[in-house]
Amino acid sequence: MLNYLVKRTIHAVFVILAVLVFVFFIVHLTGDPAELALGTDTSAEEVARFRTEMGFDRPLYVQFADFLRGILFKGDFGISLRYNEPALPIVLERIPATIELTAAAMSIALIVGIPCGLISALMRKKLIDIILRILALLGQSAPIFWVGIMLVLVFAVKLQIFPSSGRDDGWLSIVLPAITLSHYSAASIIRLLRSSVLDTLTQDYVRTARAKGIPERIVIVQHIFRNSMLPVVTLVGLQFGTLLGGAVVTETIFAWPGVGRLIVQAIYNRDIFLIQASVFVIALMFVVLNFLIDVIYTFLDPRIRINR
Amino acid sequence: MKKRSDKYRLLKHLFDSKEAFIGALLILLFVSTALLAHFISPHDPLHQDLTKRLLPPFWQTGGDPSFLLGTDALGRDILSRIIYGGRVTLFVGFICASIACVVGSLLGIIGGYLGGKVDNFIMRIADIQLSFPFIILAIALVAAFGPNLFNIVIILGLTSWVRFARVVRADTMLLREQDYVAAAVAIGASRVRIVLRHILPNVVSSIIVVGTLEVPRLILMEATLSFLGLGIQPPLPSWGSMASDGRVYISAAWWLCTFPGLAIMLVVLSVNLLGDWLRDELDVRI
Repeated sequence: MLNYLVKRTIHAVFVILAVLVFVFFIVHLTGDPAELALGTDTSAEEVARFRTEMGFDRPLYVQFADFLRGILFKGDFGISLRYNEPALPIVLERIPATIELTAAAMSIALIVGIPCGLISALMRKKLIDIILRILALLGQSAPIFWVGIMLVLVFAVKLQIFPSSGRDDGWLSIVLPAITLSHYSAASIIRLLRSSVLDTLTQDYVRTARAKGIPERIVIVQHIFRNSMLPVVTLVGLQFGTLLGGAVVTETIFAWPGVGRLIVQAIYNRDIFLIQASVFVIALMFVVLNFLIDVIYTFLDPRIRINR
Repeated sequence: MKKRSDKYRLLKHLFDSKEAFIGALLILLFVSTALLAHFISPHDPLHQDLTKRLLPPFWQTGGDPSFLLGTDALGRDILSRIIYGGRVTLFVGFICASIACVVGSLLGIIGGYLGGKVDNFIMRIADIQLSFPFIILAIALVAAFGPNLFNIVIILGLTSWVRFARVVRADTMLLREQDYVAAAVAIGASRVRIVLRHILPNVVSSIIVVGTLEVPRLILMEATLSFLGLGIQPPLPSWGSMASDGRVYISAAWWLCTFPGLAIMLVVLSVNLLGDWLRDELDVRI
């Protein structure tokens, strides 16, 4: 098991290095970061001045070494062009809002997805199963931004129950963004749990349990539900990544002050150092999350513990 | 001869499955409206008429029957824009998936057939890419290269190879050990010939199934990028940017945002329905 954990750690370090290389090259891909930051309507002299000021006229490898040194030793991504402050603290400040939103969305997805998936499978081919399957299919097909806007239309504009944007109204303000972000994951959980339960229902041990006269309630909980949950646990791990990506769109729609919205704004503002810092931070969150999930699996699933 | 009867059987099963049939019918509908957009669309999608701005759909009071789904803030016909926008959406979805399919399958076959260091290297890159949220990757690249149709297609196409590569690699590794491949090696067939004649035909069904998963994902991705203003640029109508434009008028004109979003959902749904069915029918495990 230790062996496996060491392997995962090495992989995570590798990925972080790759992310650093990628983040460095985002602004150098077009050849001229100075022009990328200032746009085409700035005079050539100004672009040239900015280029020398930021050191973009030095050889690429020197810049890259400098970039790495700054990040690894000082956590320095440069000064945000718009806010005139170091870029990294601006990003770090936004992390709690993003985590809050993702966690709320995952909770909703689980609270809705697990009972619905279970009911759908146990009531197979009944009306409720058909309705749930259609809803899950639609949920997997609807774009996040559209679900968000429709929720705003109904619950903020027409019914005026929830605020349409911001994070200033306590728990009320997180309801719409969290539902928006959760719909895809909830739909995926319903569909996966349904097929997983249907698989389990055909297993010999379920038939045996029923034949022994164990009450149906206990068969469902102990024999069917527990054994059907393994693929769902795997899916939940994967869905965290999807949620982190979806947060970019959700935060933009609801003006939710998280890292995702910051990335989009930084791009609009051509704030290259802030783009680098925020892309790095969100990628890092993703890597750390995946690593933690891997570690949790080794404790949950004895097969991994023994084999790897 | 056997091939043909297989195809007929597949077609017959398509008619037997309600979901798949609806999916196929919807896809056919969307593809034909996109192809025939010029003849079907009631108005020019770019024609502005400020005297007819923000007209509601025809069934609401104030609606104009010649603008069935209403007009936008510049007086352009929503229905016509949706019909033309479908061209962009379907084009991006299928072209990107094709690029991803070619790149991914090639790398998958190379990795699976050769094994060893080459395979390790390809799979390591795949792992690293999967450890990175895809939408962030796409957004960052679009921000660097600039948003336009060509860049979107190239970026989304080239970054979606991983799933194709993984599935094709796994299939290739199994096929490589088959007796008929050993026989082909024994009679001196070249590697290229073995791959083209003996391996490629047997991974096609897996490629198709992965394709039905990737097309909806790519369509959603393009719509999302366009919604964020980082995708297809005006005046070219795209469903994502139409929804984004309509967001400003959400309290006054619900139809601006609702219909393009519905169109996206229906296209994605139809490919998903067909994909689910194909996965069962071709018995491919992803």
